[in-house]
Amino acid sequence: MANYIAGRLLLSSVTIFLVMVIVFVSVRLMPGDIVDQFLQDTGSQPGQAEELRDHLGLNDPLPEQFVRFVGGAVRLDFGESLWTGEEIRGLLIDRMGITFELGALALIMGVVVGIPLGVFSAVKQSTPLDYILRSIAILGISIPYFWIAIVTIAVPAYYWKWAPPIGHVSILTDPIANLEHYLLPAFVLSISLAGATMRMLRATMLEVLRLDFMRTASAKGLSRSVQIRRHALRNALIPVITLIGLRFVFLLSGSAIIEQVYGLPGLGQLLLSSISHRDYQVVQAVTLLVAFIIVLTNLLVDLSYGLIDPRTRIS
Amino acid sequence: MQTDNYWNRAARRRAGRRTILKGMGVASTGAAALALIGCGDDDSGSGSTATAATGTSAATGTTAATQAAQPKVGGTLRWAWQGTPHLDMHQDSISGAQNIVAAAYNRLLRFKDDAQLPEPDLAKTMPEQPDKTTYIFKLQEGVKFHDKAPVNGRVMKASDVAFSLNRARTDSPAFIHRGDLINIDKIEAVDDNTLRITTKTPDAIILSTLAGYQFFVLAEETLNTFPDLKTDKATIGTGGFVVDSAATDTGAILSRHPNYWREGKPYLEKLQQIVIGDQWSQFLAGNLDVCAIAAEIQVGFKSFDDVLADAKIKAYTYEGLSYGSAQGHFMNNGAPPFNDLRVRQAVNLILNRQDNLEYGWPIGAQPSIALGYNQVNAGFGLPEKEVAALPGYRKDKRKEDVADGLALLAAAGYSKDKPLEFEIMAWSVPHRTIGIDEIQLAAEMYQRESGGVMKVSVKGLEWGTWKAAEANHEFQMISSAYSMGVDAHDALVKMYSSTGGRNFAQFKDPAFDAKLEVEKAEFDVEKRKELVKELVRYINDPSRIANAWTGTGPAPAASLATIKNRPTIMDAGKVDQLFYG
Repeated sequence: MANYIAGRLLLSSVTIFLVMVIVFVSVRLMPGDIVDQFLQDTGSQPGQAEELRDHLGLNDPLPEQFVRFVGGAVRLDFGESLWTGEEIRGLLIDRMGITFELGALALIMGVVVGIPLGVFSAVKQSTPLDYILRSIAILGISIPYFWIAIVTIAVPAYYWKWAPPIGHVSILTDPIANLEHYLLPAFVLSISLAGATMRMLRATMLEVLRLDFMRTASAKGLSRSVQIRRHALRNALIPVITLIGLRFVFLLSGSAIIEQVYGLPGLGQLLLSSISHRDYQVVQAVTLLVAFIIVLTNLLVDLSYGLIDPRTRIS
Repeated sequence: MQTDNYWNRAARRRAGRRTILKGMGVASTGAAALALIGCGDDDSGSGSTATAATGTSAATGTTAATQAAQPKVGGTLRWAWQGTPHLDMHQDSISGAQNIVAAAYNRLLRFKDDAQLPEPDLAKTMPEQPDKTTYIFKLQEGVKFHDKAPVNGRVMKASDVAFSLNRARTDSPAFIHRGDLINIDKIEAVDDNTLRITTKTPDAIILSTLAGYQFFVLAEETLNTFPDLKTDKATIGTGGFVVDSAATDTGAILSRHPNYWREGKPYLEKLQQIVIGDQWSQFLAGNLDVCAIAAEIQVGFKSFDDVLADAKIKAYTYEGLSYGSAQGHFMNNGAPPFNDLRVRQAVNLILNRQDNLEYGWPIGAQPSIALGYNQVNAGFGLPEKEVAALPGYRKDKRKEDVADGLALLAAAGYSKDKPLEFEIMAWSVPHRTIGIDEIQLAAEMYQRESGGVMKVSVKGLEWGTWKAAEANHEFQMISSAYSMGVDAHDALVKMYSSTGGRNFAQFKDPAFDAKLEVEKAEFDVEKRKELVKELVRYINDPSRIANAWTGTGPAPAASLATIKNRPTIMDAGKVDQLFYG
């Protein structure tokens, strides 16, 4: 197991380094830079733009900039935002909490709704209830979540003069207000996950329910609920956990638009605005952080198989 | 105002989603869409916990006149804010910071409430001018800074003003407004209450420039404690509001300055600025007190009052908010096909301005050349009748103008068989004056009006790419609206001077630059208005057509009925005087 983990960590380091190279190069391939935007509405003098580029280090040789980036990343010091002058590490810590809370809430909602419905749908296979639940799940997957988000703001405001609360309140400051701010965005973000979880679990449950050991369990006289909980669900969950792990990554990246719509200042919103402003340092730091989270999540998902299914532990 | 035209038909094709668009119009356009100063401004009244003024009862949708009343102090005003990189406007060109900077600091001068002209702020009176390059300012006495460390509420002196303005013109690339003060030779404190500014050459614009929000006054010792002025803690001014907290991406809270030197002001107890995309929905829900009425929301209505009546909310409307913007089609004169004057002249004649304008400003559109709504209405723009009679603008001779345009294209070698092909570029957001919607419809309009002699494609770009294409002149035609600043001179310098930051057309005319210098040196405002008009006529001469302007329109806003005694136009001066105190 230790060798396996060490191997995975080594592979992960290579992946992270490649991500750094790709991000570093790709942000600089985008047309324009932050200076174009700084000077867009000023009475700038000829030559001022180049002076500002020199001042910000944008004219330094690319290898020098890359070494600065890698060295900083190793020390967890990403420098300052070109746009706001804020220290990026502090910015990431602040924003990460918001995105994680949103993602975690969405994950909990998606799982809490998706798993029972998946089980229920499998157990009640081919009944009207099964058809209704499957239709709802397909709807949840197919309707774009950003559209649902906009509708949840625009329609109640126009017809009922109600709109969800604006912005972010820290959970440490006011937990109730914090929940008020996060519930709706998290719910919208969770719809697709709930649908996907429900469908995946239904399919795997149906497979498991037909296996021999389930007949044995039934012959032993176990109650239906014990058969489902202890035997069927536990076996059916493995692919679902993979799905949830991958979906969590999607929740983190998908939250960018949700954060934008609901005015939550999370990592996604930071990344979008940094790309717009060509704030290279911040784009690099956020992307690196997200890549790290993705790699770590995948590793944890792989390791979690062993906890659920002893056979994968041995292999 | 609403005629059966191309843009309206296009809007009707989308009628099925209009209800949704009403609500999400602002969200879809994004924070940068209108280049307004955030979303709203108050008047002498109060906000959600209104106490100010008598005002009328809460009549639905009343574009009301200001009413005489005795204001009371109190209330919190909640308005939407676009956010800002930081709060040090000496080092920031983006207008987001100005909502906070203008409330927390004073300047030497500010803008009058009825014209785009400067008046005293920290200066006691307008300056004495012993000669055309020297300005002597007598300053207000007993002006106190906010009671925050390290300044701790001390009295402001002329040396603070000198320090602040000299900092703004620090010879470092980070101080991006230093170019605005390039004609200043010296700024010095004569004594505690007297400041002398010397310019290199006579400069009538310098006073308007000094009234800009970026030239605020701080205390020198602030920078002994803080490395810069970017944070809320370092924001210590003499203004009507003290910054309690400001997070550049979520919002800010400001409280009334208890020792503010203008007695009885400001009227509001607190200001709350909230970063939010969909302002209109939050306004309808009562979560904001003031909100812009974006063009999407105006579609299908004849007046702003009708908009409010349809939304079934009790509110008032304003005609304008802060600076005006102007819309046009900007041609790259340095590259084909617009390096051919005949082609530019043809575009200027064939462009259907009425349709284009009413799409961008469904209510209150006004044809104009090179100047924004406030500048035109302050008397700097050409008279409406004169514009209405110009080729390309005149409605009664539309057919002749189009025919003339087609003849020019034929002379340049273009026909139905060999059409003039070009690309219009804009931001890729759905927006009616600066976005993809507008250029799609503009492209269709050119093709239709030219009978197929023009073949136009569209290119929507992501924000950063768009800005880079503008800066590097990598486009054929841009169709967009731009904020024109406060002074008409600024608008003309940026768009047409040889080194103008927004001279997208690459218009280079030494004679025009010289005329700008003459206009800049004219201290008599009425004479300067005439000089500005002459400059506009000069650039609109067929032999010099560089851009095809469409016009301008109001930047309307609505405030909840709890805010009373509102003015009808919230230009920069009114925002200063009525809102910030």
